[in-house]
Amino acid sequence: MATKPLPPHHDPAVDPMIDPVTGEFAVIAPGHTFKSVTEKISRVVLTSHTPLGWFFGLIVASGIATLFVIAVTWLVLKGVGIWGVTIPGAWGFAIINFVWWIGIGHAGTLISAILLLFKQGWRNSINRFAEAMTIFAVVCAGMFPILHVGRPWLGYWLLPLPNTMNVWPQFRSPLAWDVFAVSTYATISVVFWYIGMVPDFGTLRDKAQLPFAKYAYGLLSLGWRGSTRHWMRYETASLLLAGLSTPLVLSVHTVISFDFAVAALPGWHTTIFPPYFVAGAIYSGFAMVLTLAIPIRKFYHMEDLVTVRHLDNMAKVMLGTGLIVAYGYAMEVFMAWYSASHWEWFMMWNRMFGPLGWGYWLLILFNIAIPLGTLWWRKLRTNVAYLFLLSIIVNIGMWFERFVIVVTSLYRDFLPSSWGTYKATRWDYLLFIGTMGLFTSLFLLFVRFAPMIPMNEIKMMLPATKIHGIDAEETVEETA
Amino acid sequence: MAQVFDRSSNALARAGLVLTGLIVVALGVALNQLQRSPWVTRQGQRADQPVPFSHRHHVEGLGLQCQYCHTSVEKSSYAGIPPTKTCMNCHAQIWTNAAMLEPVRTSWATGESIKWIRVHDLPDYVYFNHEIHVNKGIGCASCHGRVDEMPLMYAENTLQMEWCLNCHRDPAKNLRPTSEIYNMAWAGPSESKPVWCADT
Repeated sequence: MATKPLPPHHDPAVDPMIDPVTGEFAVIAPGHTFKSVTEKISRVVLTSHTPLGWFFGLIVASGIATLFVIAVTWLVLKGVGIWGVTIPGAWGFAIINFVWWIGIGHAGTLISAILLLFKQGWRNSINRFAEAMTIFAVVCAGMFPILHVGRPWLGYWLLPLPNTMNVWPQFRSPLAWDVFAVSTYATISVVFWYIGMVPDFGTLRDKAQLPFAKYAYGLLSLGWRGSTRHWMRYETASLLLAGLSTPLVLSVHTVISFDFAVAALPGWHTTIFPPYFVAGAIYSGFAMVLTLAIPIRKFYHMEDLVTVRHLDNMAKVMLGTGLIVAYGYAMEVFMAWYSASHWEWFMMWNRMFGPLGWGYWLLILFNIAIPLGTLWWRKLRTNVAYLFLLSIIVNIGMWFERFVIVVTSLYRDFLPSSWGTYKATRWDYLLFIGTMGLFTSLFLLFVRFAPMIPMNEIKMMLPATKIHGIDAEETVEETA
Repeated sequence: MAQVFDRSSNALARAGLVLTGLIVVALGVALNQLQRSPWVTRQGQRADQPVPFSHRHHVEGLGLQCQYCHTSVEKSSYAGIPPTKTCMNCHAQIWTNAAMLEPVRTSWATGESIKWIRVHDLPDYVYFNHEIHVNKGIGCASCHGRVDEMPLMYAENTLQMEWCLNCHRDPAKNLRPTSEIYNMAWAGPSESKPVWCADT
């Protein structure tokens, strides 16, 4: 579970974050036992006194989600013409929001899968709600591809089903790949999330007092008894799923980037899109994890499980992916010049100084200048309030990234006679805000009814699980 | 402490798994069958026509050739439903008092068209052309069935896209000599008659 060996000048007696047994940096605060971890996490779920703040949050969030229902109802009744999409700019908020939400989901899979492959112990505290975030973000994202088509009721034509028309989807369209990518992503994410929760549901089943709760968690835990054989298979399955999810997380957003990169449009037809979109997805996803983790750890007093060290690590991942994104922006500008294609060059000029140029500079400010300028400092990375603010800034910035890519490439392209502009209508905003309400409602329900931090994985990080306790003194002496 | 789930849960859990699988399979099979069912295609359904016109009587019984009524079938994309005039050619003299023919006489007297119900009603995004099929060797019976044996008209085939494509991908099995287009009883080549013969 180490993230770093003990530096020589650190004394475990002085720094409580240093594990006295292994001499490693602990990622959770000391003092926890198996019992205290179970108590702390299961109490949130099994309490008979739901905090009022939760009710308040759910009412507000579901109120906003109602806007989503209204926007969708009106959309189906009136058609996509209620949006601000036009003929040069036929993709607008729906696609921007789709890519944004899918991007947000990716950090969850990165945390639960990629960090598992790299044996990063600090993922344990955050992976459960990061996975939940993935699933709810995919729920929100997955609706846009259906809603943005003019005839959503024929959406099933995108599936390769035997039918009386003898017609199949066009497997050369990245939009058809989107269907497979997103549906696979959603399925695997749900399976991974659920399998991870089975042992915890078992704990909840055993801790629950109400017969109904016992029964419900009993059903969900599928008769989990925690035998060695169970755990062996559980670990193998988790590792396999992590191995499957890792290429998935990279390929899903790659496929989504193909929606643009496969087109011939200047500003879209770029080979850098696949890795750059994935980096952006993880960037925005980690920002969203922070946006969620910071208030939740405060509200539920989880500061000792989701420690500042977690936030610091997440901020470092953001810094890393943010730099890749910055490289992407730089390469786009460089290639626009280097290509000697005057369409490319105009596209870049228009992006920066055209009528919607403010979007580009907001993006540079929010995605590059503010985060990458400040995340270098440990002081700021460990400042919770600053990180929360920054995570929101990055979320906005990454929304503008998709806005800039989608809109500024579309509204002015090859033929000046087909230049237009793009202005979102109230229905665009309503639908977008509505999905945020839906996301938050689902997330609040998750926090209330499922273990938001994996108890079993936290317990594996406790000093008591270390078998080499006898060597503890030696280890400390060696490194001291 | 009592157990949360008693022994019967084992059976229920297993049955639940099997049942889920069965439901998924059943749903798939049902949906696949449903889209081709007569409930969807309206195959074999006799519409409630204003006049119970019998093709059997007029074709098999009286020996009318198809084009006597459906005049434009080899010249137009639309085969045409005969106007009241065609009916009155004969029914001005025959069965002049038959109650069954009252709507025809009314139509003739008032000039109002008879509101026949279309049995073969393709959606308007399909541009079907009768003339090309008739002139390239597709007989009436290949698509419309043995109309000469239908007392009331009904759709023999689904008219679904897969049905059109099945023939367009391999038309040979349905082609016949153009002299036999209107021969309802024409049968394709067989063991005893391996080639097309003009005098079937």
